[in-house]
Amino acid sequence: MLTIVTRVAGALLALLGLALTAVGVWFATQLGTSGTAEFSARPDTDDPVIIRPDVLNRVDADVVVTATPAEGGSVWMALANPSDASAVMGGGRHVDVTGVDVQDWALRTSVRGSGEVAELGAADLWRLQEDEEGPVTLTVRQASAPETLVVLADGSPLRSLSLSVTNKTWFVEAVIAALVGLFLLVAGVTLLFSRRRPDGTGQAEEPETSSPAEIGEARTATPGRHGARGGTRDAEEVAR
Amino acid sequence: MSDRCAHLTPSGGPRHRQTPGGMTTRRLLATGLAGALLLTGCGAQDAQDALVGIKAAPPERTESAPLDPEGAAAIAARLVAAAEAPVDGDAKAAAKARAQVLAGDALTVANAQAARAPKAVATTELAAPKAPTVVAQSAGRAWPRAILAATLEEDTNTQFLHVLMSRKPEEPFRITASVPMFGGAELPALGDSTNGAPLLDTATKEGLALAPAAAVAAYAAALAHPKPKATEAVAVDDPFATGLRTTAAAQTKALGKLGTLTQVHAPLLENAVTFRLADGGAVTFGLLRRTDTIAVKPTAKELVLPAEYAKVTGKKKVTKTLTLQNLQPFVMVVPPTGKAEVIGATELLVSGKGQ
Repeated sequence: MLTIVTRVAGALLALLGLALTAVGVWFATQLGTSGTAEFSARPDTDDPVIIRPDVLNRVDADVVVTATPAEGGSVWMALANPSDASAVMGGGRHVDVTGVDVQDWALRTSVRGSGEVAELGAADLWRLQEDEEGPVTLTVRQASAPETLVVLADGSPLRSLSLSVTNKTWFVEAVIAALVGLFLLVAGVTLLFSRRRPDGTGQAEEPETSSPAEIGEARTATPGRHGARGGTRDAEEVAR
Repeated sequence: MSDRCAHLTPSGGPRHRQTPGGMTTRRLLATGLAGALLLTGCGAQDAQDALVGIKAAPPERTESAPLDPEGAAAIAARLVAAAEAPVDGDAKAAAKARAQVLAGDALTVANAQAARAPKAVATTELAAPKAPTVVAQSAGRAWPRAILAATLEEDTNTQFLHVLMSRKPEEPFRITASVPMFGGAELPALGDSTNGAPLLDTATKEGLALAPAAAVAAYAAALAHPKPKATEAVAVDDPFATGLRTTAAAQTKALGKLGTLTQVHAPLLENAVTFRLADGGAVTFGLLRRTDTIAVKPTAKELVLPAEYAKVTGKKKVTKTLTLQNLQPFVMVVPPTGKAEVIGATELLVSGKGQ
């Protein structure tokens, strides 16, 4: 029973180690030595795009958001209190960035509301505004959190939106995860394929020294209850 | 069973048991496995988030001032500068430009002034060459929102208080009141500008000695001429009230047997704004309309009007009555206990009618 448990544990450990190694290596290569995670989306919309605090303000590092309009367009980006942004949007149609997908490094988006949104630029509730032709980049500082970012393309649809966060610790953690995974993999394999004793009760261990009793056992022991007992007696006699 | 095992494992004794090192390794591995399984279980997401430094977004402080001090100052500077800026084009363009910057009482006064002097594109009440200082913001995230700013007019060394209001999320701030303070008058503290000062309903008492609207009504009644209504609720010895009384007395004396002067002050508080002060009191920005009526006595054949009155009435003399309308923006402090007092006011003759 113990053998089976050990082997199962070894197999699970090896699988876990393999998975951890693969994940660690994948993250390390994706993040790079700078530890930069970049998520992007292609909203392709004329509606405002909203990035709320549960996406912007969940890390300590600055978040850099870049919005790119289709050719010939301009982009307006602004930061506001979350409740202010919601108030000025009202029930108007907009695209909400609801989260990030690490597997694809993508921003998850969802279309919300209906009807036209009020003229956003006229409102006096924005903490920071950027308005330029072509791509616009705005850095969100966490010291001002929580904030909501509103992106609106003018003249052409919003072609792409990217959000990047740089945290060197992530690269280090990915490498550590890979190393820990490697250790678990080796440990699991060791458990799984360790040499077994002939009676299957545990790991075989070579006798450190040969004693007369052992020699006697080896020579006289026979299968069966009585044989075994007789063998022991023989060994004892030889020992004497 | 143990007996049997002993015989079936002839190399038994200490050599049947795992070595101490092997036991430790297996226990460690088992513990690690259990930990790993836990991590992949129900608490895995939280553990992963904590591991990579992802946390919940901080909650919004919805009770504080909505704008940071720099943002509020930028809005105030923009509006004060725009109010001063000359406008190209005709009266219609000027009116449109005013409406982009002013609202409420300030727009009423500015429009009245523009009607009197169409070529004047900037109201003297709003002249403020220096960058404004934000005194307070309304607290909370609801609308309407207000900013109280101050500017110093260096020519006259007069401090102006400006109220900026935004009534809806999509509506920008506009100046709704601009009132010069009396020399030596002080506005009590409104608290930390980042925390915000709550806006109060002008008509309700809300812990004050009396409701601001009631205080304004008492003040207006106390300014009436020739029969002022005495009040203990409001101080009426401020420079503005004193000046009005002095002027009214002088006019009455000048008229002598030719006519009688009556002055009535009516509170116009539709657009009044009241901030809570740090000491629990309130400061109210409002408007009074003063109506002067001069009734020509039968003993007088006619009254020849001064140039200023002739300009607003379009008549050089009257034989029966002369009615003049003045707008009087004011700022009044209402304490939690004691008398309310006016700390700033001005007036503008806006229209007149003569018979």
